Amino acid sequence: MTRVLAATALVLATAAAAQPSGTFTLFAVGRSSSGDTGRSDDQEAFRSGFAASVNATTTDVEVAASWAPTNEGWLELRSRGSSRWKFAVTYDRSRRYSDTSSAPERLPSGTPVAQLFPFTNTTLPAFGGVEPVRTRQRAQARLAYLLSDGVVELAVSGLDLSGEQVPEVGGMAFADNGMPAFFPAALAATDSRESQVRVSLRGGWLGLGWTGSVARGHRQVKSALRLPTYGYDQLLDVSRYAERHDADTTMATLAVTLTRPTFAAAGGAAYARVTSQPGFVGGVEGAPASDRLERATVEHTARAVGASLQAQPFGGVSLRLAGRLGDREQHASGEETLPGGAVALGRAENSDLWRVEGEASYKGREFGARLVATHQREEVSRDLLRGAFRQTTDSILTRDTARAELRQRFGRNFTVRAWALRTDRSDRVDLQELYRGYALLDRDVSYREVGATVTGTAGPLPFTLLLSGGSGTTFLEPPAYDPIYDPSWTLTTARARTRSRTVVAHMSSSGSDTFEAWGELGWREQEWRFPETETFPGYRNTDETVRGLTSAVGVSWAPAAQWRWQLSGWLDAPSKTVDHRVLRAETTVTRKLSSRLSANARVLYRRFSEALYGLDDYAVTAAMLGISGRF
Amino acid sequence: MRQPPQGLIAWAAAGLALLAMAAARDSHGTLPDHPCAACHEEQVAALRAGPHAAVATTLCSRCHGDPTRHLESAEAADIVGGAQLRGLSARERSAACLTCHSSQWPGWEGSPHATARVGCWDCHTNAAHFADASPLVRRGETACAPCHRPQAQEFRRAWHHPVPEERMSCASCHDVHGRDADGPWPADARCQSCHPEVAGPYVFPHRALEDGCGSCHTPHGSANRSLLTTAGNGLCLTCHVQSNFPGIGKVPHTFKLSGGGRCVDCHSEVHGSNVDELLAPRFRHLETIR
Repeated sequence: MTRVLAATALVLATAAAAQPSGTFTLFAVGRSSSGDTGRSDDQEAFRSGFAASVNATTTDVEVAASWAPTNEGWLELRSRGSSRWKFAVTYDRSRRYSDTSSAPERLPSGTPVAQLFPFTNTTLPAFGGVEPVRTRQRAQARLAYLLSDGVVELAVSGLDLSGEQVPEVGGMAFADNGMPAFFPAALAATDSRESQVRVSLRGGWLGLGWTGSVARGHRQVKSALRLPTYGYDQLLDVSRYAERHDADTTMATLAVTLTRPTFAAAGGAAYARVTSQPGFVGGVEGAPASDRLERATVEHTARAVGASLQAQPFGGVSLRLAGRLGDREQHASGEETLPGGAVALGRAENSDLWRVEGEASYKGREFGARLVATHQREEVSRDLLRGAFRQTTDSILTRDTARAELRQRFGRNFTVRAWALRTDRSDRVDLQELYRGYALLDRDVSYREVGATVTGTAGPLPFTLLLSGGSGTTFLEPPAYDPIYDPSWTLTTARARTRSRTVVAHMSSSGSDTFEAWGELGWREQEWRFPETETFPGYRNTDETVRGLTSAVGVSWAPAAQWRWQLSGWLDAPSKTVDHRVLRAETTVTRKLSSRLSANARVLYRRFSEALYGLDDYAVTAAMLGISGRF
Repeated sequence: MRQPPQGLIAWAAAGLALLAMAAARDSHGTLPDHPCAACHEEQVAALRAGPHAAVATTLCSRCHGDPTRHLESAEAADIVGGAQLRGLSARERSAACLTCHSSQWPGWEGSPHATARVGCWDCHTNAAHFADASPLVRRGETACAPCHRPQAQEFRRAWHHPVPEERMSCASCHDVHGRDADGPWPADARCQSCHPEVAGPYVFPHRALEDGCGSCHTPHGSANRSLLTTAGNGLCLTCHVQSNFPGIGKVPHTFKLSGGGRCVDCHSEVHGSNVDELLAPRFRHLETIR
């Protein structure tokens, strides 16, 4: 932080000599938190300390920087002015906390953890205290040259994600049945790095608009899952399963557009290739690896071309037709070494896809209508191999969607927009070969939705009312599996259903410089029924329902020339399968001290309480006091 | 000798530099020559502070028309005023911007936003003459919220991408100026640009990824952790339910699931595995301790 601040001060002092203009903020931050010890993002969003931001511009350069006591911030340096060369350098650093509080005292079934064997589902006995914060650092440098009719740009970017540790809870409640296979809490750690060089071109030449880019990149991901094994009352050992990805990526796109007053055409092509050398090592920590993946490679190649034609043949009518062709090839191979010997791994997949989309619309001053329909068909052949396991399938996957929209204006004050949506999906799977495996077969999924919004003004107040509802059905043919576990099983088609309903009312003031306010109140309900058919006796169903209230408010008021007060916040309170309350409120008071300087006070309150399992219940309050200004 | 705290010195230097700059600006602050500055100082100052500073001298006429008569008469009727501009269609208003920016966004004409009669000003609506050209964010809402209410509502759920916190914006994922509002790449490529840890490629990927991350995640916000569509095993059953459930394939999962166990307790590598076609490398651990 010291280095960043010192650099900022140096940049500002240098810029001061060039008589810059810009803005700045300096804030003292105080924060208090109460409730459980989970470390979600909300709880860690603020820390006590000092926060600053500055944006300074001269005729040639713009510098912006921001830093917060959470050790997050960003730095930007951009060129300005009339030079044909433009550059920008950006860096940002952010932190994200994984939620550790998914380690309840009771399992979702109600079974107390203390009655489990082994005795814990927390990470403490095996891993001690965990600081599950992931730091994300991203840097990008861009250099562009403005041509007479376009832009050519070189961009180099890097992304680093490190330090993530996610406690994973084994919630398998075997204790009631005396089974000894309860999974205790495990710890997953991930570190990722990615870099990319991209050259892109945009502009208008030969009467056409051109957009193209070529990018090369490298991605490295290391993840490790550590699983403790407990005895009756002590930790016996920790197993570790680590995966690695070393991937090189190549991507290229080209799009050409032709635009005329009543006609537009576009065409494009895209290519992507990823080659990777993945790895895997597993076994008990401190002992030689008992499971190792060697000589593994994965190659993905995807190609696509597409075109669209759009025309406005006469007043208000627009027609569009678009099509896309693509194919994808994937190959993976490797050898896994296990205590019993080596196992060959392999995967070969090829898919060919085509998609067509049509759209017709009419837009008049009072009335409008739009119809969009798409059809997509993909043929996939897949061959999987892992030792004795083998699965070979040929599939035809189709997707159809249709959406109709209507708009009608009534008088000067009201407009009604209505829509209807229909999607249908069909998977037809031809099983060629299956040995010691499990394969999903045919599936049909359909979803229908209708909705409407009414916008207008009630007296002087603009409002929007949104109503929507939808329902979907899924039919799943029984999967294929080998060997048959129980020949007495006679499987039939399984059916699942989903349903959703939403009502939202939004109202605002007419808006002025001195007073502006809006409020929103809504209700939503979503249901999932899995499956509708009978399940085994005594089995706890997996149906889910989420319904509840959502609301938001915003106010901005300037009671006097020097004062402005703002308030914003929201409440989201779903219940049933999930049951929690999210409350956020934020208020800001600004006092203008001079034409260039203001004093600001800001208070934020965040409360989250999860009632169903008692997993999370916390409140965090942050207060900020400082100045902002222009120079 | 005790060293003074470096952080304090840096903070003090930063504060002093800012105050010096503010004071310097106040002491010599009149605007240099600009044909409009004499009467419209605030607008010209904002213009010069923003990204259009380099063309500030000529920019006014792009929207307000030829100022010659207005400069002589100072009559509002002799210039295209704000009220007249607001009465123009989105396409007419955008034309002024596109004289310079059409090469920057060659796909704008015919894009979903342009087709829906959304103009540049509808999002870049900073009233102070583009002192900041970024889309307006105020009152806790993004510039997209007024037209995209259902999505704005989703961002208020307990787990959401940090758009309300202004750590990212709608444009971080959506190509708002382009012909394809979802950008040129498949949906999962956009997600992987920030989440490379799940990009693989895996020897055995989860087939749900073929339909993109949206198969299991709701991108704007969710009432469930990790932006998952549902809270429990129902998410997996969307594809894996069968009529003798909780039988899954050949294995009766009754014993495992009846107490509230989750599919991911065993099948933990939900995005893919390099060694296990059932995405359950930790199942090997279970075999070990059995």
